[in-house]
Amino acid sequence: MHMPNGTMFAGLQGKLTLHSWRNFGATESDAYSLFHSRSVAMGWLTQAAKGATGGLWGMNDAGQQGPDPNAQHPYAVWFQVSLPRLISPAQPLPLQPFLSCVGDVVARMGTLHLSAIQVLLPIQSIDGFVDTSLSDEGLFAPLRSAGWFFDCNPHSITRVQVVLDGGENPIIRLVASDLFQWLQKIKQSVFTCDTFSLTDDTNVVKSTFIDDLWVGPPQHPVTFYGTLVEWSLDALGWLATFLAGISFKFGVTTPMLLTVSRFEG
Amino acid sequence: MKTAKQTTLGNISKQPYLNVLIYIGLLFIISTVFLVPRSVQAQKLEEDVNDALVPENGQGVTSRNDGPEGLVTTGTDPKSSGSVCHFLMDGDYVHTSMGDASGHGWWVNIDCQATQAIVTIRLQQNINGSWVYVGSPGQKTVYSGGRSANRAATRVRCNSSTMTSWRSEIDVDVIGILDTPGKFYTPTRSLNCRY
Repeated sequence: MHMPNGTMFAGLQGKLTLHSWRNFGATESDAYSLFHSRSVAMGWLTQAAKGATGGLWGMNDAGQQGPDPNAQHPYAVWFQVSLPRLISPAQPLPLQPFLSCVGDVVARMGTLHLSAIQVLLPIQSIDGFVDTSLSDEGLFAPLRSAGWFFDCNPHSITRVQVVLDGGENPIIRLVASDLFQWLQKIKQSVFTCDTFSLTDDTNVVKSTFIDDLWVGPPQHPVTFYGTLVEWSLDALGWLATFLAGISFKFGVTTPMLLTVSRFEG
Repeated sequence: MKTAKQTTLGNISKQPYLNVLIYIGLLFIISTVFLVPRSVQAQKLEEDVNDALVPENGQGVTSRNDGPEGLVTTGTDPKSSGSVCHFLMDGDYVHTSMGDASGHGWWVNIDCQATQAIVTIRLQQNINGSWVYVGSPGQKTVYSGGRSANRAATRVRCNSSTMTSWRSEIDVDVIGILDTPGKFYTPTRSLNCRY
């Protein structure tokens, strides 16, 4: 397996209703320009210039109804960025600010009724060669930030299906049981996991148009079921960060595709 | 004696002439190497390289020129008493999308009178240590800011998934402005893509 540079990708499925004043033919901004501007404003963008420092990601692409407009299930809106450098295990992957930025952009464009999200977790960008005594710091960062979700509206708790797929790498299936037990042991209430499966039909969209960004296509899935404290990009960003850290802890060093969908069952 | 004097006079008169020539030569070398601003040298080098890089089909041309590292570029507006103005060249990291390598480029006006620029973006892949242009340039006349219709883009098909280093070269020619000829190169990215 050849590992490309780390890429974070988020594809949002659902119905995006644009604000009434955003007449499609007349608007000057789009998902790309809004995401770029927001990233700059928040200090999250690493300029695409030699020697650029700071920031969390470099701009790649974004759009509506893509990346393949002819796909059976194109994303309502999607975003793709590069990680400009390896991330110390003492730091979490910047998935939460990434999805927060996505949320800001979507809100700027309209109202999204999100049904599912696919996120590429660039676990290969966690630097496995640095001081191992720090290796749990990044993993535990989501636990330190979980207070953001205290006192959420109890009616916002949402049952979810969470699919982690290792693509060519089957290791996630080998460690799934240990990972599940660890999930149940950790004291947090943002994502409560109650069961997992290695055999469920996941109905995950086979997004072959992003295969070259990781080790796709999806072929080694593990499905977790549980509840998320709220169905928001904020909470999904927290979950993505948490699962990426746990996966690394259990030996995954290649990218994974995370699919989270509302689940009635 | 006369001959000797003449000889002496001849030596006296010739040595300073030789020394002056040597001094002039040294001054020329010093001024060329050390006193001419580095940016001018860099631009000249880049112009020379770029002049040599006019491809017929946009492929198979190599370059080792790394280009400017900054984003801010200056130009001179001939309509407003030759005042210097400033703009930014900007772009994104070369990335793969739908089986293609892809890149975008745009410009941001800071204080130039001009309103539009011709933005040209070209992709390069690194083969055996040399940067090679691939595909056709993407060129667009755009307003400042990089909004939806104001980005130049180019993409080239990945013929294999061999890990390859990529970058893009972005050139902004602000219309009506005598701007510097430097081009902007984005950082290198390793992609599972080779043209």
